[in-house]
Amino acid sequence: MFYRLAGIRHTSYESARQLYTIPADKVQVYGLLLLAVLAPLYLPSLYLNSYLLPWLVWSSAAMSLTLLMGMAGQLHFGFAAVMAIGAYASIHLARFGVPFEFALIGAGLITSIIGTAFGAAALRVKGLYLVMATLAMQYLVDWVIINVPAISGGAQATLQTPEVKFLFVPLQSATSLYFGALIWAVVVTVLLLNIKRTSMGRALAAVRDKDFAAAVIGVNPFKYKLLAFWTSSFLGGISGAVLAFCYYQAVTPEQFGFNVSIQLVAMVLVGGLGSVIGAYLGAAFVLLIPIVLTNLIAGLVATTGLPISSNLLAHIPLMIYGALIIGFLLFEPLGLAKIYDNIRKYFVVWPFRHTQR
Amino acid sequence: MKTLFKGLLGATASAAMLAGPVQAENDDITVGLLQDFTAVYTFVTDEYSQGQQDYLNLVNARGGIDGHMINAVVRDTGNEPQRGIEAYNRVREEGAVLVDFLSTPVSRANVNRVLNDEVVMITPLHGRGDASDGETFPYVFPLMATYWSQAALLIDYIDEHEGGIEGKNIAHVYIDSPFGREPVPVLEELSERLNFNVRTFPYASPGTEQSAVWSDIRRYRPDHVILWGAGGGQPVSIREAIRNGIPVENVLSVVWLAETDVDVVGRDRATGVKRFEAVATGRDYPIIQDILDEVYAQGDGAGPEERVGTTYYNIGVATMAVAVEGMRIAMDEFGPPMTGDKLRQGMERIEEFDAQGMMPPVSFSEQDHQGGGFGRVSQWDGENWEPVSDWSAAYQDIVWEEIEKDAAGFREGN
Amino acid sequence: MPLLTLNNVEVAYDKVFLAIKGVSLDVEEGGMVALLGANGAGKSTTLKTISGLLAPERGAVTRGEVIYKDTDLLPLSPPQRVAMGLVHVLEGRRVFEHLTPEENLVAAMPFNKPRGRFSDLADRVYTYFPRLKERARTKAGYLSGGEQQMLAIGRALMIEPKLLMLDEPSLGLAPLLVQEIFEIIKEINEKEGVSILLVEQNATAALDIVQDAYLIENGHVVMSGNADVLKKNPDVQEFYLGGAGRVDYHNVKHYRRRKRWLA
Repeated sequence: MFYRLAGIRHTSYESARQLYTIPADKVQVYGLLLLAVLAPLYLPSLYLNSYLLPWLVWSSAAMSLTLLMGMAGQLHFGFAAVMAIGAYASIHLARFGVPFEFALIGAGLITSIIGTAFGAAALRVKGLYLVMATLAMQYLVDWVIINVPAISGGAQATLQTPEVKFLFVPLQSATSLYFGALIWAVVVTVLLLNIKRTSMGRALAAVRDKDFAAAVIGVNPFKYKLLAFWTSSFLGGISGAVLAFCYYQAVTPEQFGFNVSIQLVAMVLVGGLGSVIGAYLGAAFVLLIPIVLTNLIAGLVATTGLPISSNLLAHIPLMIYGALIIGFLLFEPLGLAKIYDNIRKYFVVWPFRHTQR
Repeated sequence: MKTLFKGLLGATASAAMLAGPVQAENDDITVGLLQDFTAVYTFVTDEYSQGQQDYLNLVNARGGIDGHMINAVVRDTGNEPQRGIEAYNRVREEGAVLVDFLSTPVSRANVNRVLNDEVVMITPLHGRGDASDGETFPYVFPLMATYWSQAALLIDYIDEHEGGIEGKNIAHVYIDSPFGREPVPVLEELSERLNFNVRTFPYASPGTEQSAVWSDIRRYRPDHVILWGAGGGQPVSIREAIRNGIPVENVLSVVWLAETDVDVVGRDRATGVKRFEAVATGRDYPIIQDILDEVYAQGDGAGPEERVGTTYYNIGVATMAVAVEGMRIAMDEFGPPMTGDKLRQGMERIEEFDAQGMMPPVSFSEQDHQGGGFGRVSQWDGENWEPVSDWSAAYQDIVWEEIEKDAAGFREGN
Repeated sequence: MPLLTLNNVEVAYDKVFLAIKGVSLDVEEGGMVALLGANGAGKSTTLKTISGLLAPERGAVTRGEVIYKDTDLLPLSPPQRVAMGLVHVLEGRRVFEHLTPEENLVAAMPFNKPRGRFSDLADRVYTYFPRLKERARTKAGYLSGGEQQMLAIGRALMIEPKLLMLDEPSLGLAPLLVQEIFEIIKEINEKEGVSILLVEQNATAALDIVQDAYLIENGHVVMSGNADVLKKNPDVQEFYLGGAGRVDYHNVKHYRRRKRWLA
């Protein structure tokens, strides 16, 4: 192993404030990006389309939510509704003949208007009461989608995504769908990594930690709470649209139900509040672990020939999944991102055990 | 820290090894029974899946289809579309020719995929009713009476066996969801044609609390009540009906009413309640007896023996009986190896198949993937579900109007 | 045999950041000891190590031992340590704001003591802090800073401690009030025989009342000994006592004076 801090000296504020203060981090991120870009070449289509693609889209959604919950400290238990608005808005816009790129932006804008309207409740209420306000959004949006056939797509309540082109490439082949999701994930990631370094990011953190203390240093909590809802809803709406176009290809109200909101909150919490890598890890945990466990247990039972009923077989992964969530949170209450952070710090100070503050 | 690292590495490696798709052996026929064992459809999935697996075991024990064994992949999807899509993509790589999700959200999410991939998807008693239109949905088979057919048949039963329907008040009590609303257009059309009154009473999902709705229903003084729910809401509806002085004989339910529900209400108190039935219940049928003799006697049952012959168990058996019949025809006509396209054509050639008396004689064609919309009404007598009418289908003209309307919507992208 | 012994204690926050490295100190039975040092020197961390409050701040003792009455404290939870008569008055007056002072005292009353003891103990608190009695029925949140500090100390007295640890009791108080509170602390020490471990920035006030003092800098104990000896040490005078009050500006040296200990 190498000593990652050796020879790194920041001699100006500018260099100390850059995105990657340790070159090894930069190498890792670019390495991962390269792997992701080349994924269609080496990954079987099953893993590309059923694992990597949804993971990227859900990570984008989780990042949008962590901007609101982790960075600005505003709880949101109706984020699936935000994604639903984006998905339905983008499909209807695309059907009207709006080019897909603009349909996405339009969907984002519509979502942020509606999302901010509900977020306005955040100006009056905090904590659990804000949870109630956002839950109300979830149920209202669900109700409107189900009860207005013009939105949901008639009696069968299904809306297929029209054929569209993104930057002159038709979104049809598995690879183009994957790259659509990848581009969006990269955009959100870059935005979130950098937002922490801007004045907006610092203002959001101030509002999160103590909103009246933020007010006395000249940060307007009113403005920044609304801005947080606006930005997060915008990103969440487009994530919902990307989910619809690149993954589901046909949307139904159940895809954006209350349980999906809870899953999103779980992704953010299990991953680690306010962390970008946490959003990725949390999405992987909540989305992929149940699938992997189901296949793993089924494979184990098939190879060993244990006589287990299909009912029990279906529930064993759930039990393990639940135990894993509890286990990880007991092991590290600040989420998977903190576990990654501990490992990273271990290597940053290696071969020493400690560093001084 | 190092142990954590090693543990993570080890877990990933073993996951990668075990979780990879397994190509089916030579000329086995793979079917994917990718259902919801853990979330919403739990009230039906256990028994249903047991019936499906037992029937496939019976076929395999008898040498399969011309020597080709049927390999069933049973997986939990938790009623989540993204898990359903993953499970579908996986079994498709394993060469599956038929999938059954027994979950409306998951089936809907996969409609376009099976149409593109030419994999047969059966959607008995769930999914899109308009998939009965075989020309629009060549690879989707609802197999059994759609909800529209069920509503039409229940109205027809009231008209024929309960002293005529003209001028009567019918209360349609449903769970507030697309599923609950689905039969409403058929009921309205029929009310005009047959001159009766119908009023709709939605209750909020999941239906554990319905008392407010039922006081409205009592004021409406219905002659008959049609229940359109599933799972936990059903026994609540029956209890509320009894509490509000509606004779239980006048309560008719959609297909989702089974032994477990009347157990919750109380076997005696529920006596008299009626329901639509797509497949006969009980053990007095040759197929069920064969399963008991050849599968359970060998200890190869997929679940507890006492479940054999229950409502949902028999429905599961019937779905696989139809599917296997389609495979047989396909194998006779086109020969191995089995493909989704061959299976589709095989199933479209099924004629008057009744699974040795366990179900109504169904026929499929390129146009009709519903199989005629047959069913009957049966009544709980305190011990068993006794049929009170013969297998029949009703008002298929209205049903097909609905099917074609929605299928046209699908072609336009809905 | 001292009442409390810290032996070469090392604490790391977040598994990586070392806060104190090898702190050793003794508190004698009935003694009064001050822990002095600049901001971030590790004083509060030392107190939290003793009272067991490191875990919520992601800290952990990585080396060393804490012995109290011949018992190893490290495996014990904070409530168990309180039950042994060891109480920590946190920095910044953490009173229960929505309760009255009297209710605050009730809240601190251990369950296993007879109920009749409450009025005795409360009276004792009120004799030390008569002002609390006057305001016994207003909400604690409305008390002034000094009164809240008195309440925090009074609340700690309710468990009849053997060792009272005070974290900056003078924080944000007027000089007159600091004097008053320190006199009361001295009185408690003398009358009740409670050992006191006092963490202070205000070195002048603290060194006046304690017998022994430890000087912590950068996580190390750099000097220890009798309070009077420390007071006369020129370095302590220069860095902690403000040059003993007399500055001859003609002789001010124009280079930064080095401390004569190794930090």
